[in-house]
This record gives sequence, structure tokens and C-alpha cells, in this order.
Amino acid sequence: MNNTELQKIADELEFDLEDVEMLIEVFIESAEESLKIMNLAVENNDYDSIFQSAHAIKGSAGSLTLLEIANLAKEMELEARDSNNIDYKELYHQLNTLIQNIK
Amino acid sequence: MNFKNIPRVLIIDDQKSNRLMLKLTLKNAGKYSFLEADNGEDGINIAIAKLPHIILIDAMMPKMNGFEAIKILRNNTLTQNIPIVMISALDDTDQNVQALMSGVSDFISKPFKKTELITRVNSLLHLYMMYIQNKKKLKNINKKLEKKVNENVKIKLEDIKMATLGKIATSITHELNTPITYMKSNIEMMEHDLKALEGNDTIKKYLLETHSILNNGLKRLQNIINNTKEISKKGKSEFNNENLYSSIIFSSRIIFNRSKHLMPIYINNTLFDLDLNKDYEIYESSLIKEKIEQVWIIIMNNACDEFEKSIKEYDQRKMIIDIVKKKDKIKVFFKDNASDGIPNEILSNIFDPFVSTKIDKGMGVGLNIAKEIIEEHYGTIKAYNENSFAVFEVEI
Repeated sequence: MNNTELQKIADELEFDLEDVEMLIEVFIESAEESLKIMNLAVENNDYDSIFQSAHAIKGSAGSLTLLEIANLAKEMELEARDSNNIDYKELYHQLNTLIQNIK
Repeated sequence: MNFKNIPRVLIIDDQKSNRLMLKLTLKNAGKYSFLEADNGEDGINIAIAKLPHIILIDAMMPKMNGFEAIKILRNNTLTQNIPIVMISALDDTDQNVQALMSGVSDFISKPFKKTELITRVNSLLHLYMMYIQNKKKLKNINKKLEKKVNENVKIKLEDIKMATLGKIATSITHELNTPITYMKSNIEMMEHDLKALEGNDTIKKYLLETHSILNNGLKRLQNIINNTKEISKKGKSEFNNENLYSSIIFSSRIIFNRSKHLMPIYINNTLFDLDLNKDYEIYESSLIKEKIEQVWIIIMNNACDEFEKSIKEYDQRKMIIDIVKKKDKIKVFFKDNASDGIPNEILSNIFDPFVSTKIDKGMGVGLNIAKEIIEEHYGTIKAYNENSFAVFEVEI
């Protein structure tokens, strides 16, 4: 993520650039934790675990105005909540790519 | 917004970035200290141990979710009143209702607006910190109140005790009076009969001696009865403008027959004798003359009792009566050096009835009567020691 993008978030949240850098760093750290859990859950078709990890990513991404990530996570969360049998693997990969892109 | 004491904010959220976000948001708005937990269980333990002023909690967390944690916090007396704000990404109305039902104080959905969070947190903090302060104040007031009530109960009990004692004394004296009168008239007749008795002189002498002992005992009994009757005596109480100096002179004359052998009396630096003019000095005051004279006599009589026991030579003895005018009040000091002052053990309750230094005389009601009379005159009486003089200070 370049400085212009970071500054955009900072302006939106009314935070210093420094604070936003720190927030993004922490977000990536915990999102990767969630992704690990999600990966395993997708392998095992564990809807409950998919729901929880997607929910965690959705919340913190939303707070940071990372809307693309938040919306995708929300989609997974809702599908898993209703135990819908869809291609979670594909969604997981998309989500993973989006998160890797903000590094 | 800054508070008098730095508020403690507990943040319970499993996502580190969410906790950081909340901290940063508040940090920019004022001074707070932060406590953190990443699950409900730890959050509860920290809340109980550190008693935060506000709790910001996430709804969805692994292990124990926010709703369960809130339920436990609300059921604990230590944490039940701490404001709890649920901050959650939940966009389901049903779950918002569930949150409010579980006992949260407020609800903020993610992503939240900075000013919204700050305003809500601060207003809840403000209320809660005021509540704590008032609770402390109330506790102090309650403590003071309790102390006051206890003191009053103690005083009241003492009053009741004295009143009961007075009633008992009155009824006993009343009951005893009749048989004593009866015994008295019989013992007088007995004396006549004994004197008229003829025959064995030894027996007659022995009987007369026994009669004399009985007679003395009876006299003492009657003396006690008369003293006790004074307690409940309600005589005339007519105030007149009188010369207080005259009342002292009258009383000194009455006591003179006894005091002349015991001690010299100085009234305002003049040695008292029967020729001292009752209007030699004038101190006008509104008095019930008969009653106030009774007070002076009680005090001087007590002094006589003490001088009677004293081993001091006559020229070392002194009873001083000083009358001093003070604005619209008059102070009278009675000072005697009979026994180097009043013993400490009776000084504090010397005006209570039945307190006495006299082992075989009276019942110790004199000063109690004196005090009642002085109070009837809207005055005060104090007893203290000063330079080996016992002092009775009366102000009316």
C-alpha cells in the first residue's frame, strides 16, 4: 500500500499517517491469523469456523475502510452462517490476494 | 474532555487492530488509561480485578462471546453498574436487540464514527464517575448519621435511666414516709414510757441507750427521705427582680452558725460576718429568690462538709465568693481550699444524682438539685479545680 492510499485512509478516519501505518500493520498480522484458520476450515467444510474467521476480518477491515476486503469477507460470513454449500476455496483465494496486496 | 481522575477503559475484542483503533481514537480525545483482553473470560477477570470506569466489548468472539460476558458482569455486584458499550460489526437487528437485552448501556456498530464513539464513551464515563463520587459521599454521610444516632440513643438511654431512677426514688420515699411518721410518734412515746419506768436501773439505762440509737437511725432515715423528695419537688417558680448579692448574704447568714468554726468566707474580698449589709453591693437579676438561695446553701454546705474533713489549720482555710457582672449576665464563683480540689473521679459527673464524697452523710443529690434550679434560671453551673481550690462557677 503506497503513501497516497494510506493518506486517504488517514484523512477518512481523521488519524495521523503514523497511526494508520501501525493499524494496517496490526490488521495484516491478525488477518493472516484468521486466513490460516479459514484455510483449514475451508478444507474441512467447517462452516462455523469459516463464519467466525470471515466475521473477524470483516469487522477490522471495515473499521479501516478497506471496503473491498470487508465486502468479500461479509459475503463469506453470510454464506457460512446459512451453511450454504458454495466454492469457499475460490473466495478464500480472492480474499488472501486482496490482503497480500495491501502489504 | 478531561476528567478529574483518569478513567480506566477496558477494551475486550479478539482483534488486535480493533483494540488499537479504539485506543487511538480515545487517545486523541483526552486522557485515559487502557486495559485490554482478547476474549470474554479474561475480560471478566480484568474487570473484577481492576474495576474499569467503562467497558468496550465486541459481540462476536471465540470462546465466550460478548453477550455471555455481559451477563456475568451484570450479575457481579462489583461490576454490575459499570457502563458497557458493545462495539460490533453485527448488522442484524435481532442481535442488536439481544445486545440491549443483555444489559449493555449503549451500542455502536462498526465501522464507527470517531466523534460518535468519543461522545458516547465520555457521556457514559461522566455519569458513572459522578455516580461513584456520590456513592462515596453518601457512604460518608451515612457513617456520620449512624454515629449521631448512636450518640443520641446513648444520651436518650441515660435520660430514661435517670428519669426512671427519679420515679423509683419518689415512690420509695412516698411509701416510706408513712411508716417513718408512725415509727417517729411511737418512738417519742416510747421515750416517755422508758423514763417513767421504775425498777431495775441497769435495764432502764440499757433500754434508753437502745432507744437513742433507734431514734438517731430514724432521724437519718428521715433526712435521706427529705433529701430525695427535693429531686421531684416542684415549688413555686416566680421570677422577681432581686439583688443577687443579698441572696448570697442571706445564705451566708443561714450557714454562718456552721461555717464560723470551719472557715472564713470572703464575699468580693470582704470578710463575711453577720453585720455585713445585704445591700452593700448591688447585682440585679431576675431570680426565684427562695430557690437561688437554696443553691448557694447547697454549695456552701458542701464546702463546710469538706472543711470538716480537712486537716488544715483555720488560718490556712479560705472560702472565696466572687460576684462578677458580665454584660447582661452575672457570674458567681465559689472557691474553697478544703481538700486541694475535687477528686477527678467524680468531677465529670458531680452534678448527677447519687454522686457523693460523703460516706455517711446525705445521698449526693444536692448539686443535682442546684443544677436543676440554675437551669430553671436559664443559667449554667460548672465545677473545676484551680490552684488547689475547688471552684463552682454559676452564670445567670
